[in-house]
Amino acid sequence: MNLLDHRPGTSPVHRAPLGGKYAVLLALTVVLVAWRQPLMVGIVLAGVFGLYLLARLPGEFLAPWRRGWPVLAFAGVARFVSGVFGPEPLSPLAALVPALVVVAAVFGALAAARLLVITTPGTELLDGLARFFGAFRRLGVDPEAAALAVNVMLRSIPWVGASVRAHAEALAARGLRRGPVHLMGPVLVATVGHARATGEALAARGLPAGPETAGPETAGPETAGPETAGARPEGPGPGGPGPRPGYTRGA
Amino acid sequence: MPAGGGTPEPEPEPAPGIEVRGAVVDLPGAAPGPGQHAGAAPGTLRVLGPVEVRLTEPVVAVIGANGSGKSTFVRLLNGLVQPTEGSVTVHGLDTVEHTDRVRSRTGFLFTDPLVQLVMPTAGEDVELSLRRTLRDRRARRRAAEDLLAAHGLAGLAHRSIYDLSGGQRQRLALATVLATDPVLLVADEPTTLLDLDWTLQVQDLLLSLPGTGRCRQLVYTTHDLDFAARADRCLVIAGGRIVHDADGPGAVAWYRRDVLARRAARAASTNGTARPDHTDHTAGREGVR
Repeated sequence: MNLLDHRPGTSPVHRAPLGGKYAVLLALTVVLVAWRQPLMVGIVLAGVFGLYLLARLPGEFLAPWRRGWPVLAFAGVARFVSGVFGPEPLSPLAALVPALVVVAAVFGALAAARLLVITTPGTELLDGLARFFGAFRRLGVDPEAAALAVNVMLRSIPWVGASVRAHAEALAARGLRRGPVHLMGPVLVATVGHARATGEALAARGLPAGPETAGPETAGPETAGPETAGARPEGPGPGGPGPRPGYTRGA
Repeated sequence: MPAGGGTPEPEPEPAPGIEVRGAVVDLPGAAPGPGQHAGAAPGTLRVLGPVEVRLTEPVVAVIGANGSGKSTFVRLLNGLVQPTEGSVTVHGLDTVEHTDRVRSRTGFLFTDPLVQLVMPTAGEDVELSLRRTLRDRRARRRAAEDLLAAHGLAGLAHRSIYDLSGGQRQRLALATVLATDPVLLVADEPTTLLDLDWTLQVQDLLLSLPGTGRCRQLVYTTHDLDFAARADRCLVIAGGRIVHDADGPGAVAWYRRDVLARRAARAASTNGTARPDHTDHTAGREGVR
């Protein structure tokens, strides 16, 4: 199963409103960054584990560590080295503490962020992100497009993983070494190709969908604009159903 | 059929079918290889054209060799590729002038469904297609589940798209395309990656579509000649041009004869002193059309 796949459920965490989940995530992350003390990080980690228990997904708590431990370990080693050889040199034993705290704090933030993603259906994330990006509409941000971009990014992570495995196999089948350096080039090229194909497919599906792009035969109550439908809690937005400039050529 | 050419206002209903008038596609930055043609501007490669065709049949197949321009031709039909010269009109709408409207009425099915499926799970991907028409989240979810069930994918709404079989993925891709109720359905080699059972299932489903709902026309490319023979009309494309145009079985029979004749000629020239020459696809075939 994938690291960021939705795990359906009916727990309080699953049913919590998306805004609340983001608020908790933000609070936990700020605490982790601001108080880098062993005790505080321990408390937050325990809290995050408690949330996993509440979501009835305790087995998932360590998954970010199992998949991403080299990155976390690298952060720890970097902190350790900068502690020992930094401007205020610490003894190796004393430098170990901040290094472990950094690893634990990054892991805690990752685990908390992942809990949000796996307990929220993708469409709800999409809706929430679109609402969030709606605040930046005046700055020229198309909320639907921005939300879709984030979603496409999330779902592309497993694709890149699969591509790395496939290229490693292809190299091994030709008797070549499968080091990360050898993989980087081909995987990068394949990823760009996949991105182009995805963009083409999105365009073919008429996405990101704006109400003004609908054909004339769908004219009816459903084309009244996304902001007027009951599903949108913020009500009719000021920048709502008007046509986006430059999007309706010749209309 | 009354000629729909030159309809000034975009009134989609009275002009059924697809009209391709002198369409040419030149790609920049590619030198023409052997057997390929240069474009009008220097430094361009002509991948298609000129193509002049009017398609009003409900089911149209496009066959031809790899790299002959089949995919470029079908991508013209929903504005994914825009003609360098000439024009393409789909059910009364010009693909350059009304790209958005053409796309909202055209469904496009790709060879590889993984490219086309954007959301992490099957149900969410169908819901994404429904966003434009159904703004209420619960109604959308119900409609998505109904659509999945109608395509034999009931119970897979929460399944990751990576955990589906190839056939299920292609059916899901088709479900997401059909969720928008397209007037024209374009499929680029839709069965290439599927096993025989799924191939036949997807073929039957595709061929049954014109006439149901809003769907009036299906255009597909394929290397499966049995599939191509089931079309009402079949175009054979070689070297970026339509070299034969007939009903499904007729065009397939012509294509088989043509390929076999070319192979025989190649074998003869290899046995002789001449080296295997790259045959010009269009040479000596202008009289066919």
